Amino acid sequence: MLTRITLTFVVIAALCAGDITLRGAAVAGQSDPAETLKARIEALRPAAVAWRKIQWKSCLLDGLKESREKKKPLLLWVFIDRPTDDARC
Amino acid sequence: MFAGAAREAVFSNPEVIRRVNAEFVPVALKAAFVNNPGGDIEQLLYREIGRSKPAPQGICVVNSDGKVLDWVLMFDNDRAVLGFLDHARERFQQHPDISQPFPAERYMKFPSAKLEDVADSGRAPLILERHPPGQRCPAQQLLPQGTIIARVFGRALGPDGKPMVETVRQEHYIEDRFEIPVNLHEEMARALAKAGSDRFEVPDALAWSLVSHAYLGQLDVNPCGSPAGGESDLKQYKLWAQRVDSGRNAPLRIRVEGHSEVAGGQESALPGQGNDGRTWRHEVKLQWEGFLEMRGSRIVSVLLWAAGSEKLNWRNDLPHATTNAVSFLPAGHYIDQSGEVRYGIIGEPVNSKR
Repeated sequence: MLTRITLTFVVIAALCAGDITLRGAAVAGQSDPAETLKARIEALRPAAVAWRKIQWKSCLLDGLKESREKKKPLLLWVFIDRPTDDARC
Repeated sequence: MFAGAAREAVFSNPEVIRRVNAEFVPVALKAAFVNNPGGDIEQLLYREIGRSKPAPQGICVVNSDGKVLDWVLMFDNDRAVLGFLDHARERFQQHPDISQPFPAERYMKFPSAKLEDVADSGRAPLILERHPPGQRCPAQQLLPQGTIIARVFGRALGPDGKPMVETVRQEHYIEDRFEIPVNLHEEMARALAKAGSDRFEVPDALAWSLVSHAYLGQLDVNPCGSPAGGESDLKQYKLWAQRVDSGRNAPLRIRVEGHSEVAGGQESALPGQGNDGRTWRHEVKLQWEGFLEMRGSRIVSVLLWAAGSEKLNWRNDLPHATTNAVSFLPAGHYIDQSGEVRYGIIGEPVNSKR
C-alpha cells in the first residue's frame, strides 16, 4: 500500500506526465509504473459532474419508505435496461 | 426516450437538481421491471406503476403508496421542467396516499401535449417495508466471485490538448462499466502459460472486451454494435501481452499494448422504415498500453490507458426534432465532435456482497 505522501507524488507525476511509454515492474527507488498509470487514469475523472449530484436510489421499496417518512413524492426515472449504477446511458 | 438525453438536458440543470434533491425522493428504475413485471408482491407494485405508462421509458411521479400521479416524456422548454415539478408536488399534496381514488395524468410533452388520463384501478398495491429475508432487491446485480468490474473513463481533448472542461455531454466525457467474466481470465491464463516469458496475443474475447467500451457518446452510438440499430463496419484490434518481473508475493504482472480501430453508423431512413430519424457515424482509433495482474488463473487487476482520435456525428432529421433537447428527448442533441481522446480502464474483482 502506498503511503499518502507517495500517492500524492504519484498523482502529481501522473498529471504532469504526457503519454509516456510505460515500463514494466517497479525499479527500486522509482515509483511503481502501475500506480503511476492508475493515478493518470484517475486524473481523467472530473472533480464534480452535474448528473452525479442527484443521489438516485435503485430500490423502489427503499424509496417508498423514505417517501412515507419524509412525506415527499417519489420521482422515478424509468430508463433503459442497464444496471442502475451504470454511468453511460 | 433517451436516458442519456434526459440526464444531460433534464437532470443536469442546477435548479432541477436542487429541486429534485429537496422535494422528491429520486429513484432510478430499470425499464424492464416496469415493462415486464413478475408476479410476486414487489412486482405487483411495478405492475401498478407500469399500468399507466405512455412509453417503455419516461419520468414518473408516484405517491407514498406507490400510485402514479404523473408521467411525462418531454417538456416544452427548460422552464416547463420546473413547472412539471411544481405540478407533481401539487398533485402529491392532493393525493399523498390511496385514501381517495385519482387518475394517473400523462404528458407526451408538459404542459402542451397531455394524453388521456388512466383511471384509478381501485386496487392498492401491498407495499413491503423491506425485501423479505433471503430475497434480494431486483435492482441488485449479482455476479460470480472473481468477476472483474471494469470502470471506463473517457475524455475528449480540446484544441489545447487538455481534457474538455464541459463534462455533462457524453461526447465530451463518459464513464462506463463492464464485467470481465472468469472464463476470460482462464483463457488468458492458458495463453500466458503457453507463452511463458514470450510476448503473446491477448485472447480475442478478452481483447475485444477491453477495447470495445472505449467510445464517447451515448449507448446508441456504440461503433462496436449499437443496441438501437446501425451497423459496425470496422473492427480491427490487437492486444499483445508479456509478463514482467513482479515481487515474490505480488500478483503476476503482465504488460499489455496494442491498437484498436472501430467504426459504425446508421443512415437515416424514411419514417416507418424502422428508423426514428437518426443519422450517425462514429470512428475511434486508439493505441493501448497498461497492465493486467493475475493470481493463478484469475485476473485481479486491470489498468489500461488508450490515446488516439475519435470522430462522432449525430443528428435527427425528423421535422419535430428541435434544438431544445428537453422538448424532444428521443432525438438527443446534434453532435459534431472530432479530435484527440484519452481513455482509462480500472478493473478490480467484484466484492463479496455482489
